[in-house]
Amino acid sequence: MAYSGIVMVGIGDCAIVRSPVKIKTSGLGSCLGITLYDRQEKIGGLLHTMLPNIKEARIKDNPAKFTDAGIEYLVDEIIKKGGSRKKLEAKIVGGASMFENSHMNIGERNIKSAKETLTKLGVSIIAEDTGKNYGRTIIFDTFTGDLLIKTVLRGDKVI
Amino acid sequence: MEKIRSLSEFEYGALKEIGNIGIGNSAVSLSRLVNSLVCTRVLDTKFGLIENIPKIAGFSELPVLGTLMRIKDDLNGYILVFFPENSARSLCLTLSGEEEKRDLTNPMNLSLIEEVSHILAGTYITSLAKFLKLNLSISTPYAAYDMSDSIFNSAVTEMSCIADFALILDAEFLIKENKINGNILTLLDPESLNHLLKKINSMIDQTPCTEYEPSNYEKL
Repeated sequence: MAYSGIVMVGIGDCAIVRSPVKIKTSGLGSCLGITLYDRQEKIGGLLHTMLPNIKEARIKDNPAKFTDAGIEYLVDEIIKKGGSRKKLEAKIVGGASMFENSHMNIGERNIKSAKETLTKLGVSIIAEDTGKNYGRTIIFDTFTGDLLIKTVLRGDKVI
Repeated sequence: MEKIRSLSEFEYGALKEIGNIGIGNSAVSLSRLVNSLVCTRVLDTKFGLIENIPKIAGFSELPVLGTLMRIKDDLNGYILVFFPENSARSLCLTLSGEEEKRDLTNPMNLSLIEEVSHILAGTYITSLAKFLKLNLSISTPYAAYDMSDSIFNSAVTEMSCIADFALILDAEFLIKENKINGNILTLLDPESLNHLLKKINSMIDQTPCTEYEPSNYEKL
C-alpha cells in the first residue's frame, strides 16, 4: 500500500487497482467510462469502451473495446481479485455526442448497452453523468470511491 | 477479418509526401485568407490498430476547436482540423477584426472556424484528388470546442464502426505573424490505404501493368 499513484487507462483499455491508487482516463467523447467499486475490499476498476456491442465486431480479441464484453470482463476480473458481485457499485460517465451529425448515436447506444449489461449481471448503478455534447476526463479514487469528472467549459464535479 | 500488414519505409515516405502536397495547398488557401506567410510540416504518419491511434497521435486535455469532416467516394475516412484556443481566437480576430468577438463559445465564431476548416480540408482533399486522379469529396463541417482528445476519440470511435485498423496522417501549419497554428489530421481505413498505395505505385512504376501488355494477350 506504499504506492499511491495514478494509473492511466487509454481508449479500449481497462485497469483494476486497490486503494489508494487512482485510475484516470481522459477524453471521453462518445466513448463510455465505467467504474466498478467494492467499498469493503476497496478495490476498483475502470473501463474505457468505444463501441456498444461485441457481436458485430470483426476482431474480438480486445473485450475492453466493447461496452458489453468489457463490463463482463471487468466484473469477472474484479471478482477474481477479491471483490464480491453483490457489493459492486457501478458509475457510468460519457456517451456524449460531440458533433451534431452523430447520426450513428454511438454515445447513446453505449449508455444503453452499459445499463443492460450491468442489470443483467446484477450490478447496481449508483451514479451517472452521461449524454449531452461535451467531453469528460475522469479520475477514480479507490480510497473513497469518488469519481471526479473534469470538463473544459462546464467545470468539475464529483459523483 | 482484415489482414494485418505493416508499411515499408518507402510507403511511409510516399504517404508523408502525399500529406505534404495536401497541407501545402491548404496553406496556400489559408495564407490568402489571412494575408500572411504560412509554414507547414508533416509531423507523422502511422498505421495501426484503431484503439492505438489516439496513443500514437498523443493528445492532451487542452481545449481546442476541432472540426470533423468525412472523406467520401474513392477514399473512406475522416479529416479533422484542430486549432488551439489561442490560435482560434487570433484567427477570429484576424478575419472579423472585432476585438470583442473573442469568445469562442459564440456561435458566430464557431461557424467562422467551421468555414475556415472546411476551406482548408477542401483544398487538402482536392489537391490529393487531382494529384492521384481520384474522385473525392468531403461532408459538411461540424465543429466542437472541447478537449482535443475527446474530439479525436469521438472521431476514432466513429471510424471504428467501419474498420479495425486505421492510417493517421498528421500535418501542421503555422503563421508566425498572427501566432496561429493548427493541425490537419487525416484518418483512412485499410481499404483506402491500399487504394492509395496502389495509385502511388502505379505513378512511380512507369512500366505498364502486365495485364495490358500486348505480348500477354498474344500468349492467351
